[in-house]
Amino acid sequence: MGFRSRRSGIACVSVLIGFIWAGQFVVSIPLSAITRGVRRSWPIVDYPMYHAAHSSEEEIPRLAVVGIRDNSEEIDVIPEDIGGGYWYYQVFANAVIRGQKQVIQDIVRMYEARHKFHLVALRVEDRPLLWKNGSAERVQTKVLRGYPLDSVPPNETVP
Amino acid sequence: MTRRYVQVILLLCAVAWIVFNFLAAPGIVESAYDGRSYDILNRMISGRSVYPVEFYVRKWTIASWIVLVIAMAVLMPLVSFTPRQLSKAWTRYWFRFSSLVYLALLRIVAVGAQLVMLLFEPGYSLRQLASVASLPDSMYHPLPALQLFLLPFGSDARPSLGCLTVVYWITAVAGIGGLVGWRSRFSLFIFAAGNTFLQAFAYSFGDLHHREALMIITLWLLALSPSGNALSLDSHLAHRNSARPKTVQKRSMFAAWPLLLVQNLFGLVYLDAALRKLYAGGVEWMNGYTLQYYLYSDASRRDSAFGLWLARQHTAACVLSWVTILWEGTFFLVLIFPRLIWIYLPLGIGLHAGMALAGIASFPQFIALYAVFIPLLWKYGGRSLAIKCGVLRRMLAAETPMTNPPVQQPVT
Repeated sequence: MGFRSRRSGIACVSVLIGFIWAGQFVVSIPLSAITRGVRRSWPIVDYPMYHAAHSSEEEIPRLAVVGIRDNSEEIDVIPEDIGGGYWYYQVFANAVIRGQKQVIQDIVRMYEARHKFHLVALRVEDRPLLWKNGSAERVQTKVLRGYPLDSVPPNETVP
Repeated sequence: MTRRYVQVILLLCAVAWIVFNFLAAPGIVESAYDGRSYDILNRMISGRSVYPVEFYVRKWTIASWIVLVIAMAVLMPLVSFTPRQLSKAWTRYWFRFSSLVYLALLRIVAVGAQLVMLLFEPGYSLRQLASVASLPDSMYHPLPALQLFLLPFGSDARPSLGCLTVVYWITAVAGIGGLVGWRSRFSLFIFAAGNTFLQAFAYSFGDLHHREALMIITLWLLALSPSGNALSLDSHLAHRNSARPKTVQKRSMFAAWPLLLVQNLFGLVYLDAALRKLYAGGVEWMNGYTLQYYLYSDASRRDSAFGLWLARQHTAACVLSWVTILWEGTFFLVLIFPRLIWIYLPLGIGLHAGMALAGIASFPQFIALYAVFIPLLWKYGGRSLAIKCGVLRRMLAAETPMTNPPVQQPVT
């Protein structure tokens, strides 16, 4: 490798090193003080996993989506019904909580086509476990949001 | 003399900043929390109903120390050395002559691990890809990394399942090429691009995890470096009839920087993980209950008997919490004191393996990428251990590049 090409090689690689190092540094250190969940810059992302502190006798939330049929029968919508698995199911549950109409309609349409029946409403529940003295016990289910489907406009948060 | 004055002024500023933080800052934060300060400061505190004032004081304390350390780390070298000296130090650190073998080993381990996961782990399988591809358009918000690939088709273009399947198989074939080092650079580029494309697609539906990020960066670094110039089919074919030195003896000034960069990134991401925990919970994070909570939460979802058992061990959870924070927060010390690798690396493998066994997030890619620390392990104990055990005697006697100065050496 000639002297000139080696120098230009060093310059190019130096820019690359600087870009990646500085990018990860900015996302990891200064930005960690003011924000979390830097995702758009993937694969240069922050690492906030498991950051929150917890104490004993705290509830472990477990989101569940319930579908209500036109005959009032209630069926649990499970991750396998959504596609993608558990984490995408969480995305869907949060979409219902936030009332994201288009996402809800699309998923419900997909669900109905697969199961060959009609849903008239969805309900998101938190079925928490109480973590106490080294064991977990089920506590009362909380309804986080009810969402009527079809032409009925979405209602507000169900108490 | 001027340089010395600037250094003294900088140090005085640092001392003034520390004094300000101890004496004045907590009062300012408290008055802003109560809404008695300037309007701009009052508005900066948005979660009064959620967090107590101590939360903001702690947040300010950590942030101010970070600002101080960053400012000193950036400004001190600038005022202490000339640009020429800094440039020389930069070149000496990143572009030191090093054996290509370490880089080739990283290529084999990283590409091999990623290829195995691509082909055999259900989370990366074609079936999972098809499952994600069935999600509706309304959930699809492409990451910029994916948009770059799809630019000719529009920024919101969405690849079909057929396209994803073709990319998947091309990536797998390229991975085999990269692993054995056949048309290395081309294969590695395709492998890096394919993995980036597939993973960015999977993460374009509102869900994103961290375990692939460092591996994706490393695959690109391998493609951009001479990682296929040793322990590869290419180098074997190029040298089979040649009298030139064997590929294992080859050295290059472009062989060290990918290893050093990934080592640095490890230091940064682990520090990030520790800082987030300290920001959010402070020492409360190490109360044992936090780890028990996460253990139970994840282990029950993944049906891990070991995780459920560990979730009931409060003392063990306390100890593991402290070990985790200390290990994550100080991992970067390996870059300064390379001998520490013998403590940090086994601990890291143990923690990641333990997390995987307990059903908490598993990071197999990180364990594979620990291959970047092979030069340190070799230089600081591994080589003498090999001599003691009589392993590689012939190679060492012949003074192969394994005896070369390691990749990691303090910059003088």
